Amino acid sequence: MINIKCFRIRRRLSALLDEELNPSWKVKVKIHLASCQACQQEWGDLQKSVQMVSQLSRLTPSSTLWYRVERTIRNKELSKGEVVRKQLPHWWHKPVTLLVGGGLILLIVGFILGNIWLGNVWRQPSTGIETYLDEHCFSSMSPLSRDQVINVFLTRTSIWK
Amino acid sequence: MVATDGELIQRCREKDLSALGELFHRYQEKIYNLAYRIMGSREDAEDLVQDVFVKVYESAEQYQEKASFSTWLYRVAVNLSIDRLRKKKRERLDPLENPDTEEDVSLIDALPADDPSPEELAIAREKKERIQSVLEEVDSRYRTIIILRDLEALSYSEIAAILGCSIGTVRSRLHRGRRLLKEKFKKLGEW
Repeated sequence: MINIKCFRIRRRLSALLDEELNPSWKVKVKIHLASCQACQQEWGDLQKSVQMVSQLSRLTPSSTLWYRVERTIRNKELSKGEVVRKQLPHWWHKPVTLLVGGGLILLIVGFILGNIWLGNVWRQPSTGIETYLDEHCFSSMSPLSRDQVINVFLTRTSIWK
Repeated sequence: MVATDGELIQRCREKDLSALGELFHRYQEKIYNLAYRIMGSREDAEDLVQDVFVKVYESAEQYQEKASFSTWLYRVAVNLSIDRLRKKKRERLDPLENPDTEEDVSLIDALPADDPSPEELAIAREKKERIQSVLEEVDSRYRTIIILRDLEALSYSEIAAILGCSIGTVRSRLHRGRRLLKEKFKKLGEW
């Protein structure tokens, strides 16, 4: 059984060893150590124990470790891009969906471009007489004059009827 | 001119991998030794060093200039080591696997001029392995402090900053840890 004084001293031996004890305690502990054999023994054991640990050698990591770190970071950055792709809805990844969607888009674009290049597809279907007049009489007329002539013609023929 | 740690970490924030490379070459050995002494195996220590530097790169914004970079780095390393130890404990893996030839290289470096015999080499290596395994038997709270103080030679205030505790706590844990260690060494007849 150690007395209270020895107990208080021993609690500070570790800090004394590390030079982390305040000056007043440092003096007290040193005075006590000079007179107490049991605490001296404790002090010696502590020094020995610390010395044993500190003799463990410094090790050198493998020379390829940096490449591992670099590769991990690059893979993580790549998979971040992958995450963005994965956030799209599931059906987006199906090839059939992509084919059908692409086909539809092409069809719509083709229709619009064809309309622009080949004339007004949306025009009302011509009657037989319109086609005849278009082919034989109005080829050199402006569309406005053509429509006026046809209107007059159709009105008159309906009166005759 | 050599870039400071602060400048390099700033470049890491801008996702400059070469800056991380410089920091890595400055600190890899310290972190590796700390990790090895806590984890007890070379493989785990290398994995941990890798995790630490990946974390530094990804969390560079979190570093505040109040503490020194090395303190922050040690903190990251200690936290990741403790997480890994807990995980290992949960998975019930044996932490003392293959002590292989871990001490060999440094042991050869530390040899005196007159070459020791193979027997002396083997004895020295065994002794170091025993010291390491005794160290690993001590609770990780105490072990970490012992390593930071007795192997990394950090001051109490640096250790307190790394572990996020008071200097008083460092002092008392170090005292308790060393006492535990001393008892274990005595039990094993190491002196």
